[in-house]
Amino acid sequence: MSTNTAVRTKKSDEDKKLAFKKALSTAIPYLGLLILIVLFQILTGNFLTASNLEAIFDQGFTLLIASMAGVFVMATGNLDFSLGANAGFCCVCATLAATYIHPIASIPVAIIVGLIVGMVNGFAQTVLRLPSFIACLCMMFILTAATQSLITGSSIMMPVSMMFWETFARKLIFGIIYMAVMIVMFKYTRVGKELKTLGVSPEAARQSGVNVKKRIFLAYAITGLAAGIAGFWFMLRTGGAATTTGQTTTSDVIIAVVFGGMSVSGGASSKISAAILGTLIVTVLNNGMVMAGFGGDPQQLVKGLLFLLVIAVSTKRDPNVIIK
Amino acid sequence: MKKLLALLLALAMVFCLVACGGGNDEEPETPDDSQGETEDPGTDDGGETPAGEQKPFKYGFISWGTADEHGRTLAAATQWAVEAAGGEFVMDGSAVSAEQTIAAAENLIQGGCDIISFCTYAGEASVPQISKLCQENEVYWTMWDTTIADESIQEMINQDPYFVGTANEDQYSAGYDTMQKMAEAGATDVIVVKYGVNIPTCDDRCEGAYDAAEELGINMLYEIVAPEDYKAAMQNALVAYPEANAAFLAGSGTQSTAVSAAFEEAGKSDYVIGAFDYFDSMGEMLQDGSLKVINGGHMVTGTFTAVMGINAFFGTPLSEEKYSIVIPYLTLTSYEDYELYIEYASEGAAYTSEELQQNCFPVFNPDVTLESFQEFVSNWSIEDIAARKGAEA
Repeated sequence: MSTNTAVRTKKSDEDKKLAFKKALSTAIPYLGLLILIVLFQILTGNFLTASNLEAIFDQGFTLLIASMAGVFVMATGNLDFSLGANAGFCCVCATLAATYIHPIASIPVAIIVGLIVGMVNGFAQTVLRLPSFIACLCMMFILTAATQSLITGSSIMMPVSMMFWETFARKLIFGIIYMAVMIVMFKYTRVGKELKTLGVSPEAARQSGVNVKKRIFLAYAITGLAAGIAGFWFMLRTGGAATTTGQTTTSDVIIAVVFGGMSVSGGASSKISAAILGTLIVTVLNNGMVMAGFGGDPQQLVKGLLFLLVIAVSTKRDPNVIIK
Repeated sequence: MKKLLALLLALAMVFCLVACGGGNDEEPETPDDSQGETEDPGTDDGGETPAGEQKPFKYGFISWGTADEHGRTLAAATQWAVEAAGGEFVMDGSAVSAEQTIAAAENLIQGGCDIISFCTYAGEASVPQISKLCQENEVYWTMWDTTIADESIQEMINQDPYFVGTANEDQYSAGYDTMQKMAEAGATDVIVVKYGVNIPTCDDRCEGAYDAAEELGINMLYEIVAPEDYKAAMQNALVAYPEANAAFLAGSGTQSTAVSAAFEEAGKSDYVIGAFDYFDSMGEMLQDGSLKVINGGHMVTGTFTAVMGINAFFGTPLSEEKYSIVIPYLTLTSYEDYELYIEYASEGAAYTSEELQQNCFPVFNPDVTLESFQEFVSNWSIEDIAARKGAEA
């Protein structure tokens, strides 16, 4: 009898520990963001001004687009390494379309190119059965080379008339619609749930009736589409395309999603909110550190240490490999 | 619950930003009144802004970081000029792409910078956006290591009252001079190593080198372009062209060690390497003779663009028009040159505060003119450093 009680007590303690750890890993990103905002407001005195919040919105906008889509692939336990290169390539195509066809043509061109690239990634994995890591890496090299060959010099410029396309109101409206679509798709449709199931175990998902190939293909198509959209907004923000456009997007997406509290191994704990929260954290951190006068080497050091801390707290310690 | 929270947070940001956007639109844009508004309440009655006034300022410097020799010395040399004029130096060292350069400009401006400077390392398409940003926020700006190739961009920024000008190096002449010095050191058959494709800086240096080679009768045997492994690429080139006795590195000077190793392994001892961009072990290579010419020291582009921006902010611009200044490279051809550089210029402090004040800022010395400033800039050389520091010693 006493042995049973002892076992129950031990189990209860373990449950409490697990619950605490889960609550901690959930709360850390929110707490982190709050601490950062308060800290930067104290350090700078003008962090929460209207103009700075608008700057943060501008800076985080394309990252938000990319990272929300990135969650769809990351939920399956994979990473789309070609996301940034795809966004850069779409940016180049959009700029060329705007210059040589018509400014309006840049929108469908960016979206279609991005989508095609995403579908090719999905095709390579589901039909050709190439490992995700290899397929995306190859695509990244191809797109980087294509971008460099399409750009003469270090950058190409979009038509000057498009400089005024990027307004706060347009970005805001688009952002709201985009977020709503992505949240609904990931949280309230079968797509999100099945992608998370795939992240836990593709075999279990298959036996549960999930069309694995179809879902993986769809995840990469969504990411590709988002890369196209991000590429279009990159063009408007940077005034054209450069060989460096999108260069850091893939790593920024991973950092943002992890900062937002999602494990890179995907699975059941995957959440679309991690992309929103993580984008906010990364952007606030970049902006606040420069405003506070720590824009040199300390910026990288602090980001590195924080990233390490978040990874340490959020990563599942199981035998699953990060990249499948 | 947490997902709901995330959504609420996002919505909160959205509502917050709606308010922000509305508030900002109402701010009037009166670029020419900026100095009077911020610094001299006495001019509220619509009077003129006092000219030639030294006043506190914050200087924002945008670069790719300080991990390399050029990035480190550039930041230090810029900071030196800013502090010589009594300002506060703030840096954003994360700008490796166009979007990050724009974000850096936004962050520095939000941080209260009155002047910013950057280079078009990540492409010049973003220049109009930064121009727009600076005009909206009444911030002066300059560009270092930059020549704008696109005429429409140049035209656009020429209309910007806050754009002051640019500073850059004469790449063609530097390439030409380097090849001449290599010829003097015995180079007759050269392999050219380009660090990138379609990079104007690299291409201009090579063009100068090719022209000099043609005049001097030097054989330009082969061109290696953007190698991942410099040593392997050079080894292959030496197999194909065993007569090669020299290498011209149009950039990435740090790879001189790899190129030198390739020559050594090919059994050559009397070879000539001429390169661009300083690196840590260049002293040893100059001493043992494996490196004959190395160009660098262009961190002063940061110093002089800072001078240009600060003078505009003080209300004493050196020219009413936009202007560009050309900075010579600091060319080292011996270990003695290297020692001089290390002792007096490697930490950015190539000039004393007093030298900068007396030669660059009309607020400290009213005799400073654009011509005298340009002459001061063009004197930048190892001989000039030796003369100035020697006299002080």
